[in-house]
Amino acid sequence: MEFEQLLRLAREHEPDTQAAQLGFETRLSAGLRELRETSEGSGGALLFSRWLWRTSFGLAPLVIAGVVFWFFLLSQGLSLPAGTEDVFGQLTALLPGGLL
Amino acid sequence: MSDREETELDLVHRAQRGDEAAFAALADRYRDRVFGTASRFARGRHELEDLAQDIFLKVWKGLGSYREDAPFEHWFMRITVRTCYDFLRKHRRRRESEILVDETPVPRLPDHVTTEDRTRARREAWEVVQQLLDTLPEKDRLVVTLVDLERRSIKEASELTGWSESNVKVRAFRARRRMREAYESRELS
Repeated sequence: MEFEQLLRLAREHEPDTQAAQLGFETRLSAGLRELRETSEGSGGALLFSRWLWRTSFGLAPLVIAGVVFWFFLLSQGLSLPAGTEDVFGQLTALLPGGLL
Repeated sequence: MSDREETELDLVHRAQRGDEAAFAALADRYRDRVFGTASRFARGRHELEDLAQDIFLKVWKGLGSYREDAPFEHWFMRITVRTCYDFLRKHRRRRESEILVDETPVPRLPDHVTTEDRTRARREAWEVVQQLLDTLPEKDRLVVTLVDLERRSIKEASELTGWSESNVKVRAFRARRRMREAYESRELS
């Protein structure tokens, strides 16, 4: 048989898809449900991580301002408000290499 | 715009808003076409079920990106063809090993051809062509399937694959030549 004839015959062949189509609706709705559940599950984690990121990002200026203020106080030789010295002292002791 | 198109677009809009029933109705309209195209690439019922399911879920996930700048049908079929291409790439290695043991006889049409003979010959020809296609790179296989087996024009195949028309034309020509050579050497042996 010539190659062209072979191709022509193969082209005329219609694969039977009826068996594979059985239960199509059930499989599709199960697939959609699975996707929905996955996205709902990961949706909560996504929202939390976004909130965490935004919160930490939003607090960054305050933290920086606090650190600058602290260095300012130290450089001016001013004492910290009564009762906070111990806290700062302990925190400073935790810093590695005796930076302060 | 016809009633069918209006209704289809309505279904698309509802599905885009997350309406699963609308999507199921939409999927039902494309079901035969998706299974028909997928059956050119999948082997056996289970592979076909998985591939078709993969296509429909990709369409569902991608619905938000449909911008109505082309008919929905084109967009849908592009996803179908691309998913089939991904499927071919994924299953490449396994098919290569299958070719070594598969020895489907080359079909012969008897002198007095009955409908049954013809149906059998078509199926056997299909199996031989499948084996020949398995020897081709995935892109070539996709092009030959679309152009030579699904009878799509070069332009259509180009739109479905996203490759240029000249690329599709050259690939189809080279792939056909390779298939013919493989077939003729097989016939000789």
